[in-house]
Amino acid sequence: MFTIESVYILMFTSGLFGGFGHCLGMCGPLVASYSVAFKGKNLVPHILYNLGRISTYTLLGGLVGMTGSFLGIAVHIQGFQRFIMIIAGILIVLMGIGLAGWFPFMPFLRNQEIFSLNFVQKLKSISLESLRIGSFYPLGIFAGFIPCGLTYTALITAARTGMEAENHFLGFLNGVTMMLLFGLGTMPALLLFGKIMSAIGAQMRQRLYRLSAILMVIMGIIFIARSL
Amino acid sequence: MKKSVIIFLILLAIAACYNREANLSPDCNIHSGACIKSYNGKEISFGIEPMPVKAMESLYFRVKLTNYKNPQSIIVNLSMPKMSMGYNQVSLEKRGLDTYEGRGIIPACPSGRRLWKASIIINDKVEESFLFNVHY
Repeated sequence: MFTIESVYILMFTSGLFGGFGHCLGMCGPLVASYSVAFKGKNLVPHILYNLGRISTYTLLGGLVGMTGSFLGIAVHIQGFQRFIMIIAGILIVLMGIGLAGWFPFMPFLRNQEIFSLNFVQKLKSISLESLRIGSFYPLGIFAGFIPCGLTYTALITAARTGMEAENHFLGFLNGVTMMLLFGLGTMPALLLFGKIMSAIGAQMRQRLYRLSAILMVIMGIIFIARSL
Repeated sequence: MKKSVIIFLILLAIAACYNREANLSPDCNIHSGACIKSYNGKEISFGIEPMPVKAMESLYFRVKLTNYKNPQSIIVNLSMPKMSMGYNQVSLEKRGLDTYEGRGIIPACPSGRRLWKASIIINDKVEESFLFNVHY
């Protein structure tokens, strides 16, 4: 039906257009949360986050390409994906709480022997108040596993070409290339969105940080609800 | 900063437009059997098995044509109305006199949306579309 080269182009454009229409709605809350929570202004964390996400897509692409089966892989990672979605939701909620400096349970925790102040500090660090550049790549890897219909479709196409490949290794290479191109296609939308949210976040921290924090908590709860 | 806010508002407006699919509703109950549409004396029957039709399962797509002269290629293009879900096409092969079949998968959308559109492409031209809900 299509040559492999035209499928590569299709994968990239599918990521590019889907990035603006789909990824912003699905991954937007997570990107918005880390962008607002992170105080740095450069583009490096956003690039690292996206490279992490693309690494996961590439790995999954290689697996479905090699096996020629989307469902074979999807069934095995479904439970894990739900878990990731819940963790992402909890992270967004914690980032929101951390951004506003709300830890209402903090005084209570401080008085408990079992929960030392160290525990509270750890919790605050989870909220990414003190997020470091090095955290963004693993965060992206983790985000790549978030269930996403657009990614599923790309993986189905990768599996299909894997089925038609001469051998498992070629199927693996096709899958890797296709998902790499798809991931690169989604990058401009999320990079732009992340950068804009960082800029807005810098303003919000001074003025509307409480509103921003409330929105993040709501978004986190929606993320958790979607996974249940 | 002002530029950033303007771009952000534009993106929000685009996202808002994407949510307008709520008005669309299924025109085919795919879970109870094949759906049929006819025009100009031609007829297209479209069905998916097994039923009920679930996302994230291996599915058989079946198209039966009546009064079509020598169709060269039959493709089912799967998309979600007003939501970019990427490229998902199932190429059908002849299985009977007027019957064509192919295997494919409908991905699940974690947002909870279930409405899908199957466009039947005959000889590179969209002949008919069917809107249906899938089960999760």
